[in-house]
Amino acid sequence: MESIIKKALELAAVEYLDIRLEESVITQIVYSGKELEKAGTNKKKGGSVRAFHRGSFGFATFNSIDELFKAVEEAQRLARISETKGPGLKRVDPVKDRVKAHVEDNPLEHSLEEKVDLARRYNDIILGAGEKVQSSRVLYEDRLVKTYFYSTEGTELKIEKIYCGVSFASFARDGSNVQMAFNSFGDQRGFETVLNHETDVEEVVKHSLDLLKAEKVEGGVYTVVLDPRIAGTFIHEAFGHLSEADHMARNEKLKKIMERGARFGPDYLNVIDDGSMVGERGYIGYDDEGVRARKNYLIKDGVLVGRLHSRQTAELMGEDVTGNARAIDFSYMPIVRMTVTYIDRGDKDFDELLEGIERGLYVIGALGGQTELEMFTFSAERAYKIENGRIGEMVRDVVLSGNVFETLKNIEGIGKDLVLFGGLGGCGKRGQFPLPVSDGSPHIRIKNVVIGGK
Amino acid sequence: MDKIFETLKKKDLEGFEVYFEETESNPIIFEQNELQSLEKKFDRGVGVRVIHRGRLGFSSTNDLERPDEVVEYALESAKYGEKVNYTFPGPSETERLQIYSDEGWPESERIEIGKRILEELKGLAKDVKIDMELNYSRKKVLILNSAGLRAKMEKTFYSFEISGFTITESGFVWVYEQKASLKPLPPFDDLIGKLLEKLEHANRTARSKSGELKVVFAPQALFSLIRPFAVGLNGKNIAKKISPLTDRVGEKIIGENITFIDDGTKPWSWGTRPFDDEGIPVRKRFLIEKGVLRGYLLDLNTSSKVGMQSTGNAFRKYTSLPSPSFNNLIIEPGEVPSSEILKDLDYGIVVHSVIGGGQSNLLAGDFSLNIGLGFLVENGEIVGRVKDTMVAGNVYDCFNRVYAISKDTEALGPYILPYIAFEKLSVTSKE
Repeated sequence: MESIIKKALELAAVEYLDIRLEESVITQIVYSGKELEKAGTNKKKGGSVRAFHRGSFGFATFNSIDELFKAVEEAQRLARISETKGPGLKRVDPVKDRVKAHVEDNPLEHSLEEKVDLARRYNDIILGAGEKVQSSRVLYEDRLVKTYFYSTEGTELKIEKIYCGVSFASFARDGSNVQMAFNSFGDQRGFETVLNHETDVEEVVKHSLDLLKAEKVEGGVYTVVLDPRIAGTFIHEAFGHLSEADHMARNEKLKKIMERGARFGPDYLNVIDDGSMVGERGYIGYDDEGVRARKNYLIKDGVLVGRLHSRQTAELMGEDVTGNARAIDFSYMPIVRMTVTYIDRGDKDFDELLEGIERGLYVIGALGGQTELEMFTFSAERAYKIENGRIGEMVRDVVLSGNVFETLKNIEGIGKDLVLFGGLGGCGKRGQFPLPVSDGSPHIRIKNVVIGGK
Repeated sequence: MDKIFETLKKKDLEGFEVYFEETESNPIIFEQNELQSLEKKFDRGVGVRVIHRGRLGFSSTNDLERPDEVVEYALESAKYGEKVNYTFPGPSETERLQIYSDEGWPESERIEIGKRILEELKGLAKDVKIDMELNYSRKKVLILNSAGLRAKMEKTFYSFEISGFTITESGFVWVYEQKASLKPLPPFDDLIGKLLEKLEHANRTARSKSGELKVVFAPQALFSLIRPFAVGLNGKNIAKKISPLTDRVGEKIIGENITFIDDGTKPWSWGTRPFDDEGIPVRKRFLIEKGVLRGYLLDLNTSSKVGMQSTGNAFRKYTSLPSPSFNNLIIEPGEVPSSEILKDLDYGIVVHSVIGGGQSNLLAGDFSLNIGLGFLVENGEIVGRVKDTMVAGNVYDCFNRVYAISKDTEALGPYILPYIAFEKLSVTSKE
């Protein structure tokens, strides 16, 4: 195969061209209520050719290696159509490397039967929890992805990744009141990630039942304490996306706002994106342009110090590459994305974060988030009222919104207890979903957060 | 394809199905006022479902040269699969529908259009960064099964999307317009006018009161209020009895001025197709008629669980099992133009886009949305853009308080939606 790829590269007559071949094997098990909805293995293989010429890309995908030469011609034709005269790609030194999956216990060596048993065990815990539990959903997934990446600059990479994870949801119902609680674990550490979650499943069931009795949150402006999971979603939405340089590379106004040195938060706020954290779900090693992943500070001591780049945006802005060009699979062009994004640890104990809050919320678990770069929204699984520094009763339907220029400055404290989360979902951008990412944070406290409701 | 079919025939199976899909798309993408990329994407593969000892097995592959492997995986999966209470359908009469126009859309023409729009906007909307995607794609589906079905269809897709981003006194502003059809698009110059109008209104900021206000949802934002219905009507949630619409066919569930139609036969509409992804013919049918629930979205699997017939709403890719969804969802339009609804608004908000759709308890019908682009209207006039403002409620409640529905609609892919005006929605604004 290598010799075919190299032969194909010889056909290149554009500024730059790369070839990506990929093979994936995905095993999924889905329990939906009593039924095992799905248990099986799917395979996908294919590749793509990306050509760059005078400022724009041509991109062609294919299923079979027999079509590689045709795709090389097609990508070059598409790249040449445009008469854009944009800048080139940031220069990087070519690399030759082979990256193996870093799993200790390889999920692919376990039988489908064993995986079905595991999912059933978790599912039975949910369904056996009493008549108010109406239904369940348990998902097991492992995914082997092998990628070959070759470029006309001499980069040659062979990368293997193995993702493995499990998620479980409990649906509780009381008349027309239906509530859901959920948790997930997923990373690139191997099969042990999905084992021994019996207690976690029991907790999910309990939360779904408790939510039946919880009141809807009253809309208003609150001081909130976020748990590490939703604080991770918060920083992903609130600042991670804004740090993606493709939004600003050709936008002078936004560039000005995002100037290095601009203050975005208190001096104890540090935000990092790091694709080199082996084992995490968002670990990449190299990005999909063959650039080595690294630890990139986005905010240091409250001040903006960096952002996330592809080779194109780095060149456009005259900055260094960061290793953040990613595609969900071979059939998509790499675009600027996050990897493992987190708020670094601070110095507050949990009790200190609660201190002095007269009317607030302790917000836990993340159902999702969305941003339009300035304003963003993220939603919690559940929350507890905080009255005079004490945690009180549970409330539900907590959707929080914020504004990047105010909310980060409204951070009033950061805990010591940093946790990173992967799970089985991912991030969506420009039609590419789900991209495996991790996010995380310690507990944090923020004032003046708008929460929707009556 | 035939090799896989022949391999399956030789196995001792109660039933089997081969779903073949081939897609070819050719998007041209402009980013931040520059031509960014031209792409040619091709994908082809098969999904195999088998019924073996009463259980369902499934596997998919795009390696068509190895028919044995995908059949083997499907059989292994059937050891654990769901118990099956349905059979694959035989051939049936299907309508000839308007879903294919191979006229095409040359790359050069699309680049020309993109460049012309950028040129035009350069003068009219300085500092606005434009992203555009002009796409032409084709899709072939072939379904073969053990009951003798051999259903074949070919569709073409033409779409144009444009979004503008600018930074004004009211902060970051995003505006978006699109047009999509199965046949070549008519001129879409009107979209540019709409885009500019929104940009102009977004120049000023306005503060809305908090409390129960009149709120008008434009089609693009209304989509977020349809999602809870999509979840509630979905046969999967009916079968699991977690949808609030379970066992309520024939009951009035929302206001009688609301009608939801699923029409998979509407000429050239995005979701139109002669048969669904299991080979069941699609029809035009009421989901909610004058506020009364008439039916659900069902495929073979979910229909067998609730003791009904498939409604022809199965959707899938070759890599996944079918799951029910709308073909084309049409909310029946009203009598008045949307401009008049806004003119008649004494105090309220018109919402064009939201942030955070789908993050609430969709099953319960709840929504809690951050207004992305929305304007405060006083005495029929747009005062300015509202920000840091949320609107929340429950669709099964607020669709009882619709006081106006527009005559004009917008087709957002398979969703054909009017403007809908609600009485008394909870608005929370940061004072």
